Amino acid sequence: MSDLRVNTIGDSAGIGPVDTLPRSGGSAFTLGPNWGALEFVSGANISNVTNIDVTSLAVGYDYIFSIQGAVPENDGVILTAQMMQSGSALSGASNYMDTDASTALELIAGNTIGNAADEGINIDVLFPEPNVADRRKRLITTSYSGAGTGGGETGIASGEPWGGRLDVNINACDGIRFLWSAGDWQALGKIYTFRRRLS
Amino acid sequence: MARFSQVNGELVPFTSAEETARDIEEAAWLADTPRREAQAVLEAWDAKGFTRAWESTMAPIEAAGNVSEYDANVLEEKRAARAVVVG
Repeated sequence: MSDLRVNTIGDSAGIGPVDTLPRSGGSAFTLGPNWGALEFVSGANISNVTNIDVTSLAVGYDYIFSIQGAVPENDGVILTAQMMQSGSALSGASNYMDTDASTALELIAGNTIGNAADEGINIDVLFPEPNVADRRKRLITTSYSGAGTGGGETGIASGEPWGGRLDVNINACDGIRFLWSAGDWQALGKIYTFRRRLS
Repeated sequence: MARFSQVNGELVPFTSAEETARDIEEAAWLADTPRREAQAVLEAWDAKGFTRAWESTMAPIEAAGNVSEYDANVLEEKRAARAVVVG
């Protein structure tokens, strides 16, 4: 059996990641993030906290945050997010615009999430090119399904994908904060961070 | 109860300023609950076709005393909700 050589593939800078696939097994060879696939960044169990922050968002990527099996501590609350600049969350009274000016962006349109064991939410949120200056920043809920008080499911089919814009400025952002409209997160579920390269 | 942030998976306690700010945010959300619920009632009726335009068409019928019990209940519920939203 011969090696499969990939030394003719170059990255955008013309510097080819010359390498040789291992004959069997092995983890030394990893395809770089240059080929259009989502790159896994991190995963963390959700603790009983008020805010879930993901910081140090790099230049040159779109970010996708995937929150799975999360449940709020309070019943009937809305999942929201705030963007961060220089490591601090922006939380001014009119920093954001969704349906109206607000302190945080609502990620699910017109639906509240329940706190029972069979309620909660699974949601993916796209943050396109956060760490670029001089362009408007938006969050986009790309998919979700969640259960409000009473256990009935709502989601992309019955609710609306949502999000909104950072209104206070168009500066580069280097983090994101997820928080409920009131109360904390239960210590359930997981948050994953992925990114896709923009060059 | 002390609050925490989860920053890249690590727990970080709130500062006293953050605790105060969060207390204010949560109080504002809870105080706004009646308005949000009333707004949801209005939007639910709108989605079923019982819009403001429908209310306008009902006005002469109601004035003539010919409104059905069901429509009367819808009108009453919408008016009560709107009173809460408008304040």
